[in-house]
Amino acid sequence: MGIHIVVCIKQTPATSNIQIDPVTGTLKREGMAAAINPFDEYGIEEAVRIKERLPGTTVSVITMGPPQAEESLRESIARGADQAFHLTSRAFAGADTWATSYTLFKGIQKIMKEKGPVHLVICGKQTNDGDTGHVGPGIAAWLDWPNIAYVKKVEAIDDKKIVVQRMMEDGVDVLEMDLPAVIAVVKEINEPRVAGLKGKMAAKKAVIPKWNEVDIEADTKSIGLGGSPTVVSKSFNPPPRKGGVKIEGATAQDKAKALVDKLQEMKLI
Amino acid sequence: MPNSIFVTKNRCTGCTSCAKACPVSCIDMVDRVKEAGIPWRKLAIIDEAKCIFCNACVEVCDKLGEKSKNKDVFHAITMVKEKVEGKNNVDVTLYKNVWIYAEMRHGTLIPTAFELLGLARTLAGTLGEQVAAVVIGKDVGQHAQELIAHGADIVYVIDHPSLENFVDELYTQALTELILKERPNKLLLPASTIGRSFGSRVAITANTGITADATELAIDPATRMLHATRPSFGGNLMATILCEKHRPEMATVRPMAFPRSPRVDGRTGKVVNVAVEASKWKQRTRFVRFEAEKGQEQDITAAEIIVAGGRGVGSETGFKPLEDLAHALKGAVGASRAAVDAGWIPYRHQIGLTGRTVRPKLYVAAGISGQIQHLAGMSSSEVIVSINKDPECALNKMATLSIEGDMFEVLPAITAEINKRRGH
Ligand SMILES: Cc1cc2nc3c(=O)[nH]c(=O)nc-3n(C[C@H](O)[C@H](O)[C@H](O)COP(=O)(O)OP(=O)(O)OC[C@H]3O[C@@H](n4cnc5c(N)ncnc54)[C@H](O)[C@@H]3O)c2cc1C
Ligand SMILES: Cc1cc2nc3c(=O)[nH]c(=O)nc-3n(C[C@H](O)[C@H](O)[C@H](O)COP(=O)(O)OP(=O)(O)OC[C@H]3O[C@@H](n4cnc5c(N)ncnc54)[C@H](O)[C@@H]3O)c2cc1C
Repeated sequence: MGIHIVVCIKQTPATSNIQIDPVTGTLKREGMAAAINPFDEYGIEEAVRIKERLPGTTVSVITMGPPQAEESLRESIARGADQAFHLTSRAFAGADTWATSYTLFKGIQKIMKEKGPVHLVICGKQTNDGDTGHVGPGIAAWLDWPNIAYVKKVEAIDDKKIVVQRMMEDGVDVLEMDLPAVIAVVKEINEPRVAGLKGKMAAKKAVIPKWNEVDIEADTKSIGLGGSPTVVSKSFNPPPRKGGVKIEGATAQDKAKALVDKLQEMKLI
Repeated sequence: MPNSIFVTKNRCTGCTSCAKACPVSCIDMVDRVKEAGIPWRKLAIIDEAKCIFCNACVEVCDKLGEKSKNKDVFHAITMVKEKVEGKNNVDVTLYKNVWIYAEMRHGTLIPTAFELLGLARTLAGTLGEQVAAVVIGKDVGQHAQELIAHGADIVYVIDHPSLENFVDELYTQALTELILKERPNKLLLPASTIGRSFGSRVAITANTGITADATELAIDPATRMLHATRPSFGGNLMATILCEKHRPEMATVRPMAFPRSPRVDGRTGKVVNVAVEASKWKQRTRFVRFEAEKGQEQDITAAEIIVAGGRGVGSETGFKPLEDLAHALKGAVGASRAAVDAGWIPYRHQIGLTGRTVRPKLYVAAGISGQIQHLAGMSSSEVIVSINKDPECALNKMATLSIEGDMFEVLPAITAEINKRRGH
């Protein structure tokens, strides 16, 4: 029996373009392109793989983000998702992870209202810009569904439960969860495929609903900057790392000696 | 419209400093329409929909203005924060004490708890409050004395057979109930798999904010608020996060960022055995089993010394000299994505943006060029040594100590030198 999966994706700066200005040590952002957060590609791929295992499965994609984030939703359809939903409004801007997960929760509720029950929500482990990893577990808290983060393998799934492997520092945990539930996935879970021609066609044609705070019936005191318990009070560039000492020596042995001397001086050995 | 931000056109010189300072890249530099009397070619445009109103751009522009002789330029960005009343703001004076979550992982108390205790003592000292540790698991009361010896004044023990292994929803319910009852002022968790998994869920259930992966934490004595600073974009930008109106202020703290507080024998404290009514909890997750990692490999995120290899290693067997050095230094072995993708070493060793983030005392890199995505995972290491054939590569340029040379000659020589000095 098929299930309904919602994959949460975020459009973030394309990491391959990030460069550091060698003089100032700051990030160079000129001409920086945006793309799907790398971890979310694994989320989309895993949903599509579950669909292949459980015929009749629907894969929805949702994002909260500015108008241009629609490109990433289309890209998700090209990669195999069936439909996409775009939460977009000036009022969502400046949300911390509390308000972001609340907004996505309201968006998922709206999807359920329009398209029927959702069995599984898949998030990435973290984004490459905010980088907190909070949003997946946060959505689960709002939905009051069980959740597991750092998932590296879906061992089994049907319409009632899911068995997953969780990557721990010292090994792997295996857990079983009743559906509906939320998982956040790590890179090791799969190898995302590239979009095929059929997907690209579907992406072009897709009609993507845009929902604002009224559409998702959000409490306006819980969204955006105003609804966020945390604020970024300041951000600054750390003093650039001082270029260090080049260890010289005629032979590898000489260099090794000089290095070990230094490391002993620094009390590292 | 809750907030607005705009650029005063005549004052903008198009210097790009604001665009570089912006953590969310919402500032674009566009070509100006030529106007009489304005020599500047570029103009900053801020995308309000993306802006998080963090003030970073305003600060750099104002700073340039202070330095500049020309008083007609800079001070070009104006931000108007119309503070919307968030819901459920709390009476912050009702919240007391600095708590830490003492992590149990597969039956072991993780020593990051002692780092958090040391940090909590400093914060509690500024506040004139007490330090409490919370330990959750099965048969965990035995660790209470150890936590007291390392600086806890109070230890809350949440002990129940169903808590033997970490399950997000159970641990969230256990910790949140205690928070709502005891009302801590601050709560620190390790930024480990467990801490990062359920910290956010606890924050939302307890209706408060949380900072991720902080490396600098301080109390502002005037406001008694926690200033939690975290690196982002691979340590190239630091962001200070505040949680003004909700309590407890929560943060996950990066392991190895703070020294462990020393053990003081005979230190006394209070142990509170928390009454557990597990039957009230929702239990929709079942722990099936734990598969320990084979071998006595060290966990790289907790290692004090890491020896990492990249594409220059060339093959699976090429990792041997790295393993030898890691062994001599009692360190762990790490890798760049290039080495992982080539299949020479498993993914769990990968360091960087899509791998683990590490902060060892010593990071030795061999045959790694130092691409930004790799630096994202290791640039806050205390001492970086880079060995590379190419003296101009990014990692050699930023390393504390750099060696130009072939890793297959240099690494064995270092290992031999260390063993020699140790008298092996
Ligand atoms: C420098 C900086 C530091 C910050 N620090 C904090 C902090 O410490 N605490 C805090 O509460 N906020 C913080 N924020 C705000 C935070 O980045 C935003 O709330 C952001 O909307 C979500 O967090 P994230 O990018 O960390 O996502 P993560 O929690 O890292 O994302 C995990 C997964 O959630 C899903 N997801 C995340 N965002 C979206 C989205 N918009 N639409 C759909 N799915 C999504 C994706 O599947 C993603 O892989 C910070 C922002 C910046 C710029
Ligand atoms: C979205 C995204 C995420 C990514 N995430 C990560 C990540 O998490 N971690 C990561 O590491 N990368 C990541 N990357 C990849 C990253 O961009 C680089 O491709 C990668 O880090 C390069 O690895 P490297 O330095 O080992 O290889 P290279 O850049 O090829 O460098 C090899 C170096 O070895 C030197 N060398 C060769 N032979 C020898 C020898 N005998 N002795 C000494 N030196 C020698 C060469 O001079 C060269 O400097 C990511 C990329 C993207 C796009």
